[in-house]
Amino acid sequence: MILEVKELHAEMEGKEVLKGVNMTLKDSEFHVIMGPNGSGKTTLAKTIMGHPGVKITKGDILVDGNSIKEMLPNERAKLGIFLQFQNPIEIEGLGIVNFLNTAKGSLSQQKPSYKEFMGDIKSNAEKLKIREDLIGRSLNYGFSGGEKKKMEILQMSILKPKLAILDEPDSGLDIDAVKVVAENINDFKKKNDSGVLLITHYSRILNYMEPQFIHVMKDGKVVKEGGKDLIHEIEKEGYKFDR
Amino acid sequence: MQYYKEFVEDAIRNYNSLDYEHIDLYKKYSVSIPTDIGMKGTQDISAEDEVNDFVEKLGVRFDAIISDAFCRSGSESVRILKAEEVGKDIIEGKIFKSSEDKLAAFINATASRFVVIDAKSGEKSLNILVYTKSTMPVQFIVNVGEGAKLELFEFHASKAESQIVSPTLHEIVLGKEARAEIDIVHDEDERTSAIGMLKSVAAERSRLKVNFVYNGGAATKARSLMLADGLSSEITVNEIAFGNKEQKFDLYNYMINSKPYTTALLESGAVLDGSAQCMLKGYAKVANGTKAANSRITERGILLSPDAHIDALPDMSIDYSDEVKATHSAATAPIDSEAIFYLTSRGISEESARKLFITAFIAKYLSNMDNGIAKEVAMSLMLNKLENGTFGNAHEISAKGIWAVPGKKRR
Repeated sequence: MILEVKELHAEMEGKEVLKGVNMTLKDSEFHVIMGPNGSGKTTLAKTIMGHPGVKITKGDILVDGNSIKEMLPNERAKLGIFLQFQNPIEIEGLGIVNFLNTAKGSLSQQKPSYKEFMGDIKSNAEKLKIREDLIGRSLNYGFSGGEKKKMEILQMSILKPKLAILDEPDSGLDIDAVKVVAENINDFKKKNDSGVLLITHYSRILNYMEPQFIHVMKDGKVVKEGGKDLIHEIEKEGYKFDR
Repeated sequence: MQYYKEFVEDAIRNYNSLDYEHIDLYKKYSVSIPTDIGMKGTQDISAEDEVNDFVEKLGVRFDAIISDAFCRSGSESVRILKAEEVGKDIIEGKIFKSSEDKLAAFINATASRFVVIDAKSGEKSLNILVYTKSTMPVQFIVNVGEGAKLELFEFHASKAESQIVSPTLHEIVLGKEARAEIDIVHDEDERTSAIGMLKSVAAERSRLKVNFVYNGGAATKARSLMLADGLSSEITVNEIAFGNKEQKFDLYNYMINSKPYTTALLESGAVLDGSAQCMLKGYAKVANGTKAANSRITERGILLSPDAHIDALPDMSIDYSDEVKATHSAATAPIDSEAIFYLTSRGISEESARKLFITAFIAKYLSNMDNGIAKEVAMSLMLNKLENGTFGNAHEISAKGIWAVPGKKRR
């Protein structure tokens, strides 16, 4: 999958948040977006996924050369895009297995057998060190911040998207959990040859990963791009970039 | 019978004037079910074959059936009596014998069937069907003896040719350390209005759980009085109403902590589509000297249409006591758009996401049912309504295979 974000301008609640973002992600590449609070990172992720509250005022988003601007979120998911939410929604009464089964059924032409599906959930949950009893509970209901983040990564592992947009998978996690989550993202990427677009404030999680491209966003724009070395520059100097 | 008949006219007059409402606000937020239509009712009587056919298609084994065609009990714990057969022993034991309670008096006055359930000892699980084509007021008198355990599932269905009323009165008495779960599922048809009245008294260290499910009926007016009357007794009421078209629900629960260390919890929920209306009236009273009493009212609603309407009216009256915990809350909103975005981002269509969200909301209330059959019946009815917009046709659901859960053994 090739994702192209072209001169993207977007508003949320009448306020322009994205002011001309350009970015290209090719098959199975690993990109990272960093930037200070309010720079537009999460809005960009939501815009790519098709959040109904975001209004694109200019520019386009292309997947394999075709515009997805008018597509519904579920249609974008069917193309292979996955968004890990920064603040996952809690839905009491919706069992995790039921939810994942419905999602898997919506995305796949050929659904795995129930045994295979449950085996996939169990093995991925074990790798993520998710307590077994959590799988039998309602979706994210009463979960801690860390448990919610791990549940998002579990969903990604089960749904196997072509491009995973991960919005702060490390926030709210202790140091051990950051390592576990990073290892699972690496494992997912390797097994499925998927692309990853990871959003983070901090370099901590990147110590366990090998991103190829770093983009720095500030005030709704990409102001700096580079390789992994850029992370060290940010660590040292902060976000002192301006285009 | 004279005992009842002598205040029939008063009872109907009081009912029609809303005189039984003890809070003025509740008179404003009230659904009126005209007794002049309902109490005369239709003269059509369901044929025995029709009831048997309904039961067979439903696929549930009922221990007792109360219909206008016939009454049948296959359990020694369930006695079914016609009004003229009711003796002094039952009347003397009734907690509703006072005419001070005017709604109860109304149902008392018009009762034509009495169902006496005695769970004196041990554990009992009973499934009871109430099926009618005509107005058939029924009284349930439930006695759960000291240390005994009862699981009771009642399914109320109707198939009326013209407008009727289905009044039901429950009296539930729990002895010391008794346990009871009463699951009452209503799926009356569009021509039927239901009036429900329930009064329960829980003795020392007893636990009562009542789950109400309102899926059918043109209009439903339900009123319960739950008295945690013994030291350390617990009463929990869960109710869920799922309405569409022009259905109306007036649901009032009065919870009382009258002794120390008692618990009285009410969880009410409503999901409304079309121009349906629901009034959730939860009232809790924590009496004087009820040390460490725990009282909670939670009311939640989801509106699926701009014409649907929910009035959530939680209310509490707390007298002076030490260490009392009393809380109430109410919230009503359309479906959360962020939740729909979350679900659709996983590939689920918007329509399916909405249904998944509604099902989850309903499932939260049904999860309180320990009785698997009751839960399955309630969930199937509500899923069918969500899918097809229909209610009051449980016997048709089986034809679509919703009841048939592969590998699941029915009782």
